[in-house]
Amino acid sequence: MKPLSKIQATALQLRLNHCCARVPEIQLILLATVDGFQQVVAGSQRGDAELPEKFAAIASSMMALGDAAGREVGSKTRLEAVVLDLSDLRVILRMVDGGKQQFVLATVAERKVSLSILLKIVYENARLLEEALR
Amino acid sequence: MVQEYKLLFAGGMGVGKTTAISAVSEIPPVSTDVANSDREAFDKELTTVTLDYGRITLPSGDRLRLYGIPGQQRFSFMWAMLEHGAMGMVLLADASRPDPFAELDIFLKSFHKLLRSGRAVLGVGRLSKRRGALDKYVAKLARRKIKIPVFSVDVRKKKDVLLLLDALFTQIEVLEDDYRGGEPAEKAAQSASSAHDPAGGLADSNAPAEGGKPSEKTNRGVFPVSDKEPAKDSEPSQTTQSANETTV
Repeated sequence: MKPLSKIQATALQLRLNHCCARVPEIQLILLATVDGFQQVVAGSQRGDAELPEKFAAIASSMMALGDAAGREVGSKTRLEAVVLDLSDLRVILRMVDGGKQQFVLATVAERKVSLSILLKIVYENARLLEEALR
Repeated sequence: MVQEYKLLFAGGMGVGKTTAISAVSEIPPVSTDVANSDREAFDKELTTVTLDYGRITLPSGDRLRLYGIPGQQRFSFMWAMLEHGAMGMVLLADASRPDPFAELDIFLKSFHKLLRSGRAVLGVGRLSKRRGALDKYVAKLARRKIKIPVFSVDVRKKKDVLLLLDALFTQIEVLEDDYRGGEPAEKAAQSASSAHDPAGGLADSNAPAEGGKPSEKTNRGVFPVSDKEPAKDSEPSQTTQSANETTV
């Protein structure tokens, strides 16, 4: 099953490219299916031969683990985001509701972008992607 | 003092790792299943992307922590993480796949250290009822110098999964005896097998009779068995074959 049409993929690609151009500290934005297949990728690390494919699977695993952790501690809602705060980078994984299908939006940025600004960018991207996917 | 043991359930996508853990876990398993978007590769609604986790408490109070790996190769970064500290492994295969041996090979390579140590068992699902159908699996393992018990199982059945765990513990205990007493390594596999010799009636000797209590002589009798089968199955249906064939 191919979850994205060519038109959808192009629209999403443009959106993610625009975001990376606007915020150069963002190194990678990647949209993956919840089961770890890379769909759209943008950013300076997109040229890495293996990274996007590998990171799509890792992002999917981390979201699923976050969701499981949430359920175990009594959360009644689905996981929205996972934040990795590294000493040099921030990684934010955000669930994207594509209507018939769920996706994971992974954003990797240098730490000089504040967490609040990065979260705002990620949530805004997710909203726009959800609109494009529905 | 209560001991904790970590056991790994490995095998390709859809072989029944999640089902097997669900069948025997005393707690609702921690599941990381998500929608499977690759239905062409494997027609299954959900797929595990991180791990499965279940638990069994033995009568002694010791605990088994059961970890299932995600079966697809793109999640292989999880395999080594989950293997770390595992005392043994239940490897599952699905004989109905177009090329079950190629799929099995991936796991024989990835987990070769644990497998070559002998601390493992292989359970083959959806096996044809033809006599000797397991021999090809035994030969496959032998070519890789892996000597572990092999069983035909239906992992939807709790008693079949307990059979695998019982055999695994026999295997591990014999290996530990071997370590202390100098018994040849391959004897462990034979020992586990002899407890489940089809001629002697595998199901009778190891898995408890329907509705019965575990046999006193089942291996070391480590697994309490209730007569309740899991309420529902989350994996594709398998043949009704029971764990009635074994070989090493």
